Amino acid sequence: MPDPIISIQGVSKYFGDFMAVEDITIDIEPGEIFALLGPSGCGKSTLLRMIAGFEDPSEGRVLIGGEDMTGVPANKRPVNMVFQSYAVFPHMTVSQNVAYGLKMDGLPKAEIKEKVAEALEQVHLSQFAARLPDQLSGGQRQRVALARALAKRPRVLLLDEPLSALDAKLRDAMRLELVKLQESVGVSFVMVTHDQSEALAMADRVAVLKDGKLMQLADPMTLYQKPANRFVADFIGRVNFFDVTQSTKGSAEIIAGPLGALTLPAPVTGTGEHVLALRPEYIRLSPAKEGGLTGTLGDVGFQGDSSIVEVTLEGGKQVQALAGPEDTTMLLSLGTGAAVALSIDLSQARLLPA
Amino acid sequence: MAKRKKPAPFDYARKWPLRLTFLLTTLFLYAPIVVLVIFSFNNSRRGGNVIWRGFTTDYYVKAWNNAGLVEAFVNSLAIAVISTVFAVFLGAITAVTLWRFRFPFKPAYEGLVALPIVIPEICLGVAIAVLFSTLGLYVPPGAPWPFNLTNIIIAHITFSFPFAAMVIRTRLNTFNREMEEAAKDLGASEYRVFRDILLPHMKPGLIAGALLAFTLSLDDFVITFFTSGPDTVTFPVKVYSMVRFSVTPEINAASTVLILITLVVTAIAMRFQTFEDPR
Amino acid sequence: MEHYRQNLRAFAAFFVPSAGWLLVFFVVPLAIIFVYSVSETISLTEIKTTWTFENYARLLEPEILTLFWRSLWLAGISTVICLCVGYPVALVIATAPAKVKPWLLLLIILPFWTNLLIRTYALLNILGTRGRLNGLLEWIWTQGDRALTFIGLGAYDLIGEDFEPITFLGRWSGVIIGLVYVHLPFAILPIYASLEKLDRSYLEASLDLGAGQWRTFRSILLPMTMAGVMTAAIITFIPMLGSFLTPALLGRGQVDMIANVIERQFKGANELPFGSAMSLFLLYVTFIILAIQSFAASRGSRRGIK
Repeated sequence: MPDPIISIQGVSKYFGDFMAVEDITIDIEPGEIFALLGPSGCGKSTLLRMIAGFEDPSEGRVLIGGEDMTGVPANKRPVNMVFQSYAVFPHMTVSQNVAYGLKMDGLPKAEIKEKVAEALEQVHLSQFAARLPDQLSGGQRQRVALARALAKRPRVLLLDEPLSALDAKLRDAMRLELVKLQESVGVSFVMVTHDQSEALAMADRVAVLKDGKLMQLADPMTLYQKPANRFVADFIGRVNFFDVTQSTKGSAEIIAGPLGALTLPAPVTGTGEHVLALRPEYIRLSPAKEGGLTGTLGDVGFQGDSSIVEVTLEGGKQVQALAGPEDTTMLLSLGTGAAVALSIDLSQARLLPA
Repeated sequence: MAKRKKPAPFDYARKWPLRLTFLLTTLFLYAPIVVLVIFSFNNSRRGGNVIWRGFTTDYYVKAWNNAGLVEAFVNSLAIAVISTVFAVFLGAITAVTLWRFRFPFKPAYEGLVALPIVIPEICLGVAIAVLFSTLGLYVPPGAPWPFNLTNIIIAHITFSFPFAAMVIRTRLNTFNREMEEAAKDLGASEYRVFRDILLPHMKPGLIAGALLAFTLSLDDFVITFFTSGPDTVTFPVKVYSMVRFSVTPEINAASTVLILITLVVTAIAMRFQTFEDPR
Repeated sequence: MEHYRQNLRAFAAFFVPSAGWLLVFFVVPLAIIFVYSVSETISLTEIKTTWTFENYARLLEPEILTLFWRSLWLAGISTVICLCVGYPVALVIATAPAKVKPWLLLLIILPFWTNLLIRTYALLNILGTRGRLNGLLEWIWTQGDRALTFIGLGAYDLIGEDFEPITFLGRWSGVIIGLVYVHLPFAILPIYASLEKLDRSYLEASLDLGAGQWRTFRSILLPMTMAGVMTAAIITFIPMLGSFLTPALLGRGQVDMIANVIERQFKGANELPFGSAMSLFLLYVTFIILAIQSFAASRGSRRGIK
């Protein structure tokens, strides 16, 4: 395994009494897209700003390329940032914006010109070089910010909510484009986002944060399928939670709760855990028949390729299920209030600490 | 029959009683000035300006040949220019201080900066005049121009720089702090950030502040009246003494020229500003 | 915002020149005035600080009280006129099409970029007994009379005698016209600003809920722009109260206001202590007005009106 490009070691940050970041240790590998994910106020931006050098850690240290960055100001760090508002200088043309950082490095004029051209090429903005930022669209401004940061050949590119200022359609296109750009330039990207779908779609690894604490660090697939706790399961994708009590009967684990008494299959075991998490796609609905688990059909939220269906169990517990196109047609014909049977794929369930 | 479109309920600008009020107000504001300008061309010796006796530019020539009046005029312009330069500088650093730093007793300091704006002019005029006389700070009689105007210039700076600070601070409030961080992130030092990023952003505010300081200085009578010594004559003070004796079209002519200068400066500054800041 | 100690040198570089200027040329002069206000004139050239309140006591002399009362009254009436004229004018500008709006604003502001003395002088020419305004009034008078001839009431049967020119100069009417003329834009601009900020859907909601135009104005528009009206009142009233030039030229020494008497103490009578006390009294009045306003504003904002 190569040496990490960024090493965050036991970093905490307080603002007065407020604990913004609490004892976080993360290594970021060269060449990966790393996402810091969490709701607003979870400390992800503060963490990013500590890497960039805009905030000093209260405790712990940040290493970039193996070098301790404590006391190194932002303008001397080998990382560059794409800001949430892009912060493209309004009084400079596109090429002046891109050249600014190179000028600060004291590079000769010819070299600056060459690197600016190259950077603009990379983001497909060559023909806009002479424009002023207010003659550009939001997406184009973002590319200026990208080119400006990348022109300096940073060890790591930091992106603060890179897509939040774009409209929905452009956002999807930019996701792919950013990933492609990262592949072509090869530097690590560290991005901050509150949008879990963005993190899952783009990142190689994701750190989920809550209240300044690291909840889980894993690749997107693991986060979705094997969330480490209730918060991660809830924050990423849709999920049903069932409060359960657990007992052992012979060699089998038995749980009791709104779903009745169930014997857990082998992969879903653990001790002292009291919440069963189950994604809607592992609950299948069919017209009610005798016996088994039944419920009352609620709203069918049609979303094109599938539907999110609400079902109320006998005890009053509300459950969400995901229905494919055929099931949707069947459920709509049954109508709200009809009795339906639920079949559950328990092998995909997760037992989590309450 | 074509029906006249009834104005929308809150389209006050299209209701005739309101339009009439606006029109009459504008008339009220402009009529005296227009009359003043017209009668600067009146061929009448008496300054009562009552009856039109034919067109002449004699009084412009007369004003031009009135050495005292011209000197006063030049003095006023010099005071305005010099005090504007200082006022913008002091206003800018005051605005940056208040915008950028947290420090003890900041609200009190903000209040102090705003005070010269709100207190009656006469209080400030009297106070500064008394400062110079108490400390014996008289400009020596033979001081070279424009140093003989120092007292008035100091007084003008004192009342105009808080206005400039206010305008510049409003502009600073629209600054996106991420711009500053972005420049730092790209390797700029504190000084470069100020020069390359903050100063260009402040520019429209600086121009607006300069315009304000300049017009305030040209507009002022009271403070100049109190701080000018017996030997230093400024345009308003000169005109004031002339008006007390007799009213001649000469004053109209000189006033017209001053109005024209103010208009031109304003127009230039505004063009400058719309060019700099398209929003 | 950073704490000043984080970057002490930069802070000092920005803070010291302007704070120093204010100290030397603003705070110190006011302090000197204060010291004078508790001093006594011993001889023509000598003033002794005796910490006396004699000068302040003199403010209560009937003559001075009349002067204060007259100043307050003139400034008050003029402020009310400014507000009554300024509100509709601001309303027209605020609801004008976006394209003409800046031009209308400029139209209102432009006259006030000319020198105060020139403006007052211009008004002086208009207001004389043989000035333009009287000329205009006479014309209306005679034309009106001629029109009345057609219904058999001409030849001054109805409206009485010949036109008699109205004297404005040296009367309170002239001073009030002058005060309004000089300060009107200060009344219009804050009202305009508060109208501009107002969301028009409040008005539409009121109309939608059944209130008429007048009712909407009284119970929605006016209360929601009251802060602007208050600001307008204060920034016209305070300078009006301290007016010097307008009463001096248009009042012809017969309608003195506080500032004219202050001027005489400094330039003529050599009564620095008493003049200082009067200046400071004017300053205290200003502070009291500002304090009342900030108190009212904070109460207003607590009630959710901005």
